[in-house]
Amino acid sequence: MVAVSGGVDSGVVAALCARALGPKRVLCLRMPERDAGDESSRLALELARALGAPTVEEPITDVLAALGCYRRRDEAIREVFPEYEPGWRHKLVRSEPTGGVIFFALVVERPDGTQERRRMPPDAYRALISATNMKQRVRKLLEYTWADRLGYAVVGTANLLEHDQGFFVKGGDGLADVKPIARLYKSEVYALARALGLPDAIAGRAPTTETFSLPQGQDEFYFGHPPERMDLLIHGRDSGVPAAELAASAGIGAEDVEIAYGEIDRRRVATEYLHAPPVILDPGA
Amino acid sequence: MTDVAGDVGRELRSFIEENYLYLHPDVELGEDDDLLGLGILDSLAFIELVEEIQSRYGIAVQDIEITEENFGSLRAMTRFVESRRAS
Repeated sequence: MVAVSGGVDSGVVAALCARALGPKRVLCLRMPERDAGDESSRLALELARALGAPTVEEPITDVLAALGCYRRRDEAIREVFPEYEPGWRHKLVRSEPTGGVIFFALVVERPDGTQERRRMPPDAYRALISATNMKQRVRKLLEYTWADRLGYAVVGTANLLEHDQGFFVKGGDGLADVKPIARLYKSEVYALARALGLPDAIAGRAPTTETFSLPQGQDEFYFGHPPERMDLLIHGRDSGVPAAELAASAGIGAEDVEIAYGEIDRRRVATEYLHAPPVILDPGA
Repeated sequence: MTDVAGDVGRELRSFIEENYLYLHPDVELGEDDDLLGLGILDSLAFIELVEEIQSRYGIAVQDIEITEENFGSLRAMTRFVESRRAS
């Protein structure tokens, strides 16, 4: 059971499952949502057809609306932009990597197309993230509903960058029974997509967060660098490559590599709890 | 040397103790302790503190000023607030 978004990660995971188990034993679950865009939905269907795997569509917009996801999100945005109207496109962006503190700003696009950016106070940030995380958690609820119904395992789609750096929602996209590509760099996932013969539109698709209504890359929300550079930075960090040596291939200065190394370490520490099993207290201790 | 025993320093110490030190009951907060490095604040808590300083002292903090140099320790943030209030 793989939730397919139309992106390269879930495409590769679904294709690997189809190879390992036979396409008839893999359910491609499509869960369109109004902020994710029609193209994702179309590509997810194209993938399932290309694999010859059964596919089911479970639109989640109405469920999210009933749970108050969009209302909570809009209330959080109004804490920063009181004049915000539902329907204005928006996204969350992080500060540039400077080696200092990372903070977030909200960008909204008014109906006339002008964009404005304001720093997000932590309370509004938490309100926004807790609301948008409902999307990943509702998706996971439906994945396990289908897994229970069919007696299947839920296969997760996190790649190395996301898994290692904690870029997932606990109890949302972080939850799975098997995570086949969690040790694969993004560049390896792209290579695998080509090798597995995924449709070009999926195999070459840039990663997006699919969480906010303005187009948003994972780099501007979380990593601070595009995925191909993040691959190099993580590999360099873990292989002990000096910053000055990595700088040329990463296309940034040695100082920026050092800053990125620091961020990689800090994200690992900060997101450790996302991977951790619950703390169990022993009443006898 | 910034006087962290003055009103601003005392208020900020009290805010940090009340909101963040409950998770670190053994820590006796030093004036120059690195709040991020010691894990007393994470980056979100750091911004929370900056927001608190803005509203409590009526100071506008620009993005570029959100640095450890300005807010990384009790002494640094006290100095920042006092310099702004004096200007």
